[in-house]
Amino acid sequence: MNTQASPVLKVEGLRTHFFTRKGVVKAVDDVGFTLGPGQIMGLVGESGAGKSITGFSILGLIDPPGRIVAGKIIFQGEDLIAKPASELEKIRGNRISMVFQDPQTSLDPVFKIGYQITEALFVHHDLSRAQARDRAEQLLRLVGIPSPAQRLRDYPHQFSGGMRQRVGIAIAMASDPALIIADEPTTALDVTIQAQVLTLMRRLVQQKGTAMILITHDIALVGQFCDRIGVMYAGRLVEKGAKEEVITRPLHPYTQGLIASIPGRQERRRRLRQIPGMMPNLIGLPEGCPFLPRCDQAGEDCRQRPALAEVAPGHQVACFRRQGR
Amino acid sequence: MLGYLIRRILQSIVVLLCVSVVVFAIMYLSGDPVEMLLPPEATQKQVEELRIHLGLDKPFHVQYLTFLHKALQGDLGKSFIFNQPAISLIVERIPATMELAVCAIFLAVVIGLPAGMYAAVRPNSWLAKSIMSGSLLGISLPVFWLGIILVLIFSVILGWLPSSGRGETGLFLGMRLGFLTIDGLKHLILPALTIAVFQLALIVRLVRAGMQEVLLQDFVKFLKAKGLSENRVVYVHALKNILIPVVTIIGLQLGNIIAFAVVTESIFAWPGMGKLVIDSIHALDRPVVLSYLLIISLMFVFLNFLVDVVYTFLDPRIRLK
Repeated sequence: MNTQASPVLKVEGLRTHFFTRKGVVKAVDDVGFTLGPGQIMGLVGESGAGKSITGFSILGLIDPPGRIVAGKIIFQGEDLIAKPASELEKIRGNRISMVFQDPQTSLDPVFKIGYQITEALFVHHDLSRAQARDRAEQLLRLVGIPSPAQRLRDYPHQFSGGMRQRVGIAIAMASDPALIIADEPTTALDVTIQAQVLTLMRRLVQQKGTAMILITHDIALVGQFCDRIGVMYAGRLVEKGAKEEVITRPLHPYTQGLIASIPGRQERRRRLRQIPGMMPNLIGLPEGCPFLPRCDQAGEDCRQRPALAEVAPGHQVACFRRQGR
Repeated sequence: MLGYLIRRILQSIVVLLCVSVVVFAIMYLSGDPVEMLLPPEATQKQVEELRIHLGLDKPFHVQYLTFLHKALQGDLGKSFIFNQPAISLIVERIPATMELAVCAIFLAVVIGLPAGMYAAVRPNSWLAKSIMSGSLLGISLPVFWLGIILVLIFSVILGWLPSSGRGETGLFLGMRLGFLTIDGLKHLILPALTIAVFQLALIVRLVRAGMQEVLLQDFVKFLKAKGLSENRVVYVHALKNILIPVVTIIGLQLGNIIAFAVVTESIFAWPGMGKLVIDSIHALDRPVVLSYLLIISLMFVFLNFLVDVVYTFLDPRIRLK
């Protein structure tokens, strides 16, 4: 692992808050991680845990009333938070790109696919029309779309869901980015297509040495495709580490719950395990461990907020029970 | 496409037939045009002769069928009052009304589209707020009042612009059009503005609402994630996405303006179709009223067809079937 040598991305103490009429929503609250070249990190958690907001924060695409209030996002040695909007525009889609959740809605329905791909190329590179078209064709071939030259002239609605997501990936790969943020890229797809798309993505990032953040609520998926795992809960990272570590020896009660709720082969007739309760409302979150109300291992000291601490080499968890207190 | 065209034409014929029956019946029931045509001291014999001459002595269905028979040969009858073919009376005045309507809608779109987009993109700026309050005013101001106030300000008090008529006209493709001369243009400004204000307000509100909706869509975020500038996202992508409702409204409103320019034409003594028709309704001049309404219906049908065709260019998912 050359994580120490030259990380592609280093996020430190990131806090993204939304200032709504009802109060401050701390959607991302003190999140930090490091990602090396060619690494795939899975960001897991349930809806509203702050996974996507973390992704959008890195791209600088937080809309009001949201704002990054603290933290550093060091991308290839530059702090993105300190950069003006015009600089970020040059980085987006060029050095960092994003694949979206729902391929049905992430492409503009009234423009041809070819236009939408070449448009991204023209923004970042000085290309002629013919060069851009060739590159677009090559990208479609790369993501496995048959007869790419013809398909460039089609509109998004003429593609199936899986094919459309491939187009999304092609657009994300257009400028050979150093980092791809994939926000639930397969959630809207059929299970059979899911594996295809993810295998494709993994092959592409491995070929080009691209780092990737895979945002998902499916911890089983992360186990298959990622090198590292970060588990998010209520805007915080509660556990992170190498994939094998986290999957085989989950430490945080929430991670344990997530893994226990994966349907296994032996327990086919049994009721699926579930974590009791719901994630708390992020407005006016009480002090202390956010998982406290749902935790069956909690003690009196959990009314204070636990910080991430290393309990095994490369395996960090934010839980007093595991930190030997 | 061909099937669509044929179906569309058949539909139009049915529409025109219905319109003609309804209008014919209304005009038949509204009273006796002969009494309006002859002086009060006319003898009973003169009244009878005129009635027979105009074919008004026959029962309703005979009258209608006679009309229909002639209409199919392109003859919509002669005006009772002017004793000229009704159709040519109207056609003569179409350019005046069309000119007014097209100028008004042009003003409304050219100002309304950018204003509405701006109000959607920067909703908290003072300019956006004034645009939206202004549009509320524009929607609620009655046209006749607005026309009179504009005349008061720009003609009576300031004396900048003429208050009535079309002024000089130039000849273009055989049509007499006002905007070809300076004088005609001056005459055009006030009435066009009077009509445009409401349409402008409507378009502003429509565009803002559509834009706000589109800007929340996923693909807008994806476009930004590609590194496109906000201007490109808004003025290329979002704009094309909101054009469908805008084109629909422009089509409908253009028809409405042509059909209901009467009020404005009366205020500014604009020699268009509206004024002719009001006069004809008063005089129970059935052929003119009928021809007018048939032409207007035809225009509506055509505008709707045009809007449908434009749809297919704006949104590839729409096919004419």
